[in-house]
Amino acid sequence: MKIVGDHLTGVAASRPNPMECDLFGRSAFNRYYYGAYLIARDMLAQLDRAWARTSHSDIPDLLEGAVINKIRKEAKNQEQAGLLSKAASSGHRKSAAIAVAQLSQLLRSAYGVRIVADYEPDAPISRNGHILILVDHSTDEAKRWQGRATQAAGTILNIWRQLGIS
Amino acid sequence: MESLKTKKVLDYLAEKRIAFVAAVRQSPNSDAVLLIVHEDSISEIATAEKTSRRQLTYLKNSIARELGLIVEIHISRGKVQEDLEAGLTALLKHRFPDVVQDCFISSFENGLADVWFGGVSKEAVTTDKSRRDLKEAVSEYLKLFSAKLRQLHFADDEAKVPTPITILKTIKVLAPVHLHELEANFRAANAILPSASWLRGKLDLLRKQGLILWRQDGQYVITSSGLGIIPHSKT
Repeated sequence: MKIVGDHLTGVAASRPNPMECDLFGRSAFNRYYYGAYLIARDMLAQLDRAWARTSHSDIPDLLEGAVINKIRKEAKNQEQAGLLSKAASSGHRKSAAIAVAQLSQLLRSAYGVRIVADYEPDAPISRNGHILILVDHSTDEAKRWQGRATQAAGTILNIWRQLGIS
Repeated sequence: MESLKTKKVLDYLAEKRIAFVAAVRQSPNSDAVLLIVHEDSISEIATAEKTSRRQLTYLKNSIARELGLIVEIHISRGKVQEDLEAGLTALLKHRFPDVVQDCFISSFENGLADVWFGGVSKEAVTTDKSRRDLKEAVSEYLKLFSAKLRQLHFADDEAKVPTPITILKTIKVLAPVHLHELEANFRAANAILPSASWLRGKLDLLRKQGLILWRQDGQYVITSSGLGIIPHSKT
């Protein structure tokens, strides 16, 4: 998805006609969002198959609710049983909390931008050299959504597995 | 395009001397007013310059109550963090070519930063020395911004060494099971067993904790308290 977004950004930035730039630019933001979303959805499906169909807007709440709570609970259980040291247990909880906050925040803001890109043609795209900007978010930032999501999702999945949850 | 609603909210913020809201916009896809707050200005605890998540929720509720307006809080990543990240990535790509492809700085609070590496090739960081070099480079860079490194995170850190709970789960599935069968099972699953005696040591520990039994025929089985701490996958 990211390569598609990059391509569309390039196309948009090279259009002298602002209307055309706007149209291609919108699609670029949409693709960048999907790059991050698909990573998150794939991770959720691996955590628990029942979560594979979570709707876009519910994913951040699921991460900040059921996902982090399960990690906290199992880490504490295993610490109590002597399977994990106190440091390891709190390390898992802390890393998971950071990754969950990152991913849910990223998805919330990227989803907001994507909604504007797709449904609000009145909110214009502005251009600054090769960078496009939509509601305060630049393509430079959007380019990194997928990588950022991959890193955070990897951390969550890794901790989930280390705790033997699935 | 300042609507009446955004004007009301702006006045409200000015009256309450709230400075952490970077911008106020009419939400394009609903009736709500958007408050844009940079991630830089949010911390765990609210201080004079910073706000907290709790305070943001409070603000949202008080605007709803006092002005009768729906507001949505929109958190955008701070400019400082974006720039810091771009600079660090460029530096590490230059100093450790083929090793670092991408890196991320997570929430940057009280001058402490967690740095995460995406796609760090495994061979590149297997030695303690290369890890140390990488860590030193990151610390030096952060120092220029009066920040300190809290922790480095690698993409697949220690992911392949079985944890006590995965050993327990495997015993549950295979029991009764001999040590060599367990070993073969882990190796088949591409797990890393640090040394020949490593798994035996772990099993001894689990046995002493009363989570598994070593039967007279030399096979391991799980106990009921062992079963009790295996996570249920049902959610």
